Amino acid sequence: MSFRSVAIELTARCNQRCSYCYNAWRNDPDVMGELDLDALRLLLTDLARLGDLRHVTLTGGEPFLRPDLHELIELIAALGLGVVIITNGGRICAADVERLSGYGHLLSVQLTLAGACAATHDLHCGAGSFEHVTRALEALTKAGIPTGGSFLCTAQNFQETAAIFEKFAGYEVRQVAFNRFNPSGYSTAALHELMPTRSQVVEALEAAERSATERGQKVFCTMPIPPCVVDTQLYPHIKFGHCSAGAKNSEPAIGTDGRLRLCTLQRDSVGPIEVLEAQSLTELDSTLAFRSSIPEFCLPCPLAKRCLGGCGAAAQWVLGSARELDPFVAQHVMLDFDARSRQHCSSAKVSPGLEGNSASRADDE
Amino acid sequence: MSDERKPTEGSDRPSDDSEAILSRRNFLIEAALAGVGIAGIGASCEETDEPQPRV
Repeated sequence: MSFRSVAIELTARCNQRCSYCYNAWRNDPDVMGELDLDALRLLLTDLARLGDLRHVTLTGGEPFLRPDLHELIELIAALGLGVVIITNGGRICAADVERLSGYGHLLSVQLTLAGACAATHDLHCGAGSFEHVTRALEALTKAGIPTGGSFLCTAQNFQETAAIFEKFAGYEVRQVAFNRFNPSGYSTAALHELMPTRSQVVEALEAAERSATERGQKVFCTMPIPPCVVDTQLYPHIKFGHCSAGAKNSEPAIGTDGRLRLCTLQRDSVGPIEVLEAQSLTELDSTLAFRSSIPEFCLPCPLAKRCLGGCGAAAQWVLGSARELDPFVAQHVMLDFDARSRQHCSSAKVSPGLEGNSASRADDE
Repeated sequence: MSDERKPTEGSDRPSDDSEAILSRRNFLIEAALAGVGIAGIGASCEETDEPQPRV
């Protein structure tokens, strides 16, 4: 095996309808099945046996909708693995906080802010969601639970970047992911409302850099920002990366069907985890095909083999092929981007939209 | 807010963002042709095995 971390999507159910959600199957009645604890035990035991797994990221849907979440966390501890939980915070209760505070192997609980105030955050995540996430941030940090932040940068909130980083600092969150909006799954339906321009991301990066400098926050760009878009040397306190799907440092995903994908944003699976019995992730045909898919625009660039043209998964969702340019770049340099993206994104199953987005629409009970 | 999203279809005048990307791409290509290493053009990336915040 060639990866140290794996993301497990525990459930398709979610109590929110975030417009930026990458999941294609969120609350889809066709994929409402989920692996039970026994299946997850087998899966994790196999993954631990196959290689060098160090930690597991639990995500969804909303992980705290699983009644057996704490049993699973304890199972992961028994296997000697660390755990990261990605949550919207809306279902974390006092009993959860008490149990979480007792886990020595809990590396981080990560919560996302898509706005510094209820109006902006709720525009992205639904009515009442800002109150949920800030209440969770307060409870978790007060209990001394390691908490990470994720800032989702969109065309609707980039001007609040400084205030969002300040908000995280107020909760003593020292590690913040800078996630520029990356269209995939459900969020392709909101592409034209949410996609920030290069200028907007630059403005947000400048604010994040100031916050990292002044407050000592560790800031990571988790979505690729290709080197043709910004000069990363201008932001010395921000770590930039590039697509790691299928590479040695990657975090592949396992869906609610137990099948493996190169990362959470990927549309297609590469098969059951048994494919890793014969070959490492880096050697799979689908990995080699994906990582050799360099967009034509990037071919002359000396950094193309590392950058891969940004996010190939988003390119597949929005433009129909992983060989296309990352939509974040393509929006500026592809003349027919609007027409081509509308052709592919119009087929998204659900349009979450920005109007009428309400947490009260949840059907998670 | 002006729309700096993309070049206008049917126009040969790209937006500021389009120009910035094309200009930096040309810079990277020319630097490579001149034999400047990746670190020299400010495009090195740190890799880490530590778990990081993500999506």
